[in-house]
Amino acid sequence: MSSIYKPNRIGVLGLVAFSMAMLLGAKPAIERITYATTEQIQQAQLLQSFRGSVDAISEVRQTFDTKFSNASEIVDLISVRESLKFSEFDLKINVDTLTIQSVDPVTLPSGDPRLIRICVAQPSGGVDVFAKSFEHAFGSLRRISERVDLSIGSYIISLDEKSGEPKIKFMDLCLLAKNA
Amino acid sequence: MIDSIKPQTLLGLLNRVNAVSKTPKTDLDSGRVVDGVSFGSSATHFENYKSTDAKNFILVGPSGVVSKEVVLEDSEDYVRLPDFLINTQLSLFGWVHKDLKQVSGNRRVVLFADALVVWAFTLQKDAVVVGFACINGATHTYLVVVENGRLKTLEERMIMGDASVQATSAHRDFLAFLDRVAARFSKMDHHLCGTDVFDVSGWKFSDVKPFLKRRSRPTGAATNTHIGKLAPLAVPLVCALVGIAGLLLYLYPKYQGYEQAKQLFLRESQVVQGGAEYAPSEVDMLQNRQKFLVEAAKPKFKLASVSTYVDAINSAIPGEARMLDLKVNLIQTAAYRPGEWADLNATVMLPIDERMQALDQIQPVLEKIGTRSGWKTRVRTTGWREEKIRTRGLEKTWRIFLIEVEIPQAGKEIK
Repeated sequence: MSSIYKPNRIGVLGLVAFSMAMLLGAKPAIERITYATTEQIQQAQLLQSFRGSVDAISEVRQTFDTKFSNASEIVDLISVRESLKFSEFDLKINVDTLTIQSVDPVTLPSGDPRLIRICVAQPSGGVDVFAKSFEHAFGSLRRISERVDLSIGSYIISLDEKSGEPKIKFMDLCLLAKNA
Repeated sequence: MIDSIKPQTLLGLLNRVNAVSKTPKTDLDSGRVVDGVSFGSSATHFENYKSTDAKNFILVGPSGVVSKEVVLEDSEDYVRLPDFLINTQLSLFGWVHKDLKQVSGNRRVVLFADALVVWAFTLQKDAVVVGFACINGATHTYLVVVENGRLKTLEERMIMGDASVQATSAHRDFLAFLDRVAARFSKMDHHLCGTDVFDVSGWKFSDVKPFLKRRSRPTGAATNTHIGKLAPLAVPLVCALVGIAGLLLYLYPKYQGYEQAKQLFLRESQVVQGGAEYAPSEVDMLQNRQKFLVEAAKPKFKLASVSTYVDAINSAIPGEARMLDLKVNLIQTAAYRPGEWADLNATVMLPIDERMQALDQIQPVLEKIGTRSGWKTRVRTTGWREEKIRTRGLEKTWRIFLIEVEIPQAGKEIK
């Protein structure tokens, strides 16, 4: 069947104009929301990445908490001896002759790890510790070498002339403690 | 008859129409088409055809029940239209119109078309043609207006049987118009099926203009409602709505992605800002401490290699033999990292009991030391001496051998 329409031209033109306006406005709107979305995603990912990185190195904090003494708790030679923890390795040390040589902060090229170095010595030079046997001395040395809170320049193993006990003389022995 | 032209196509038909229309003659008062072009799908038209003596009379019609009944298809004057043209009136009309313009140029030609009939007729410059066709007993009426030689409008109504039954307001308008036609041409009965074809070429376009202004859709009923008035806006409105909906559907996922990223950012931001461990100075400190631990994890000295060597000595020497003293300059060894070995001679003093007093007895031991230490290096003695040493409360004489070991070069790290 044929029919002839005489459409409301004003209405049609209005709709066309409206549609055109929508289309014209859509492009910048799409661009803006795409840009905003991309930026937002990148920022969120950046933040996530940052948080993940910090969380990943949080083990460092735990390591320091367990392996380093607090500098604020080291107030005398007794606390130095306790922090050296040589008794845990069955090594004897004469704390009466122990003296503190220096206390200075540890610095790294990259920055401050908030550590202080407490170096100790005895009048004979270095720090002498005694073991029950050579085997025990070497076993203790092996474990001491794994400690990250001790700094040792060198050592000499010998038989003590007086007591006949195996002796380890640590040179440049320093205790590292965390500062806060 | 136009014997010389035997059209089999619409184009051919139009040529024939044009040829005939050069001398159009009608006798509308008698109700018969005397000369010109008529159409027919009904027996009435056929009767008209048979009763006329007109020579230039072309009968045009499609295949149809009625046409077959009158056995017109065998007539050489019968032009059969393609079915696809017949079945679609609007396309047919548009196509014919276009074709007419190509064929007849500016000639004033009116096609009278419906699903079953094509009727061509020549008219005056401004003309109105009203036609009727019979389709399965229903009367179809058509209005064709030519203005300045061009087809202007086409109106179609179908009146089933008695027109008064279907007399909606639109139909009434149309019927009123037909009445006016009938008033001018006394011979008219639009209630009959396919009996009348009127040339109202004397009419002007202005005569039908009032009716055309009220032209509405054939269904008519909805046109007087508010909804009906919006009908012309339906297509653009739907297009606009579909476009907007599509745009929203396109934008919504993007907006969702933005919102999700924003919420994620806010959550992370709150966590980071709320945690002291995420403060920049704290993070820097952690990173520095991490670097410190990496450095501190490196061996302080070659303790592993030295102890391994000592263990090898101890395990290689039978009896009570033990290493007594080992002096290694660790300041020197500390300068090397794992895998970086330099020549370094270590001297070991080894006590030997009574069973190993001869110098040559120590040689197998030395070989074992060299092998078991893992270094596979040279071990030798440079001499011996005897000393009385008290160990574990007992004083005992020991023969002490001086052993030299050559520590391998780099790449010989002891595991």
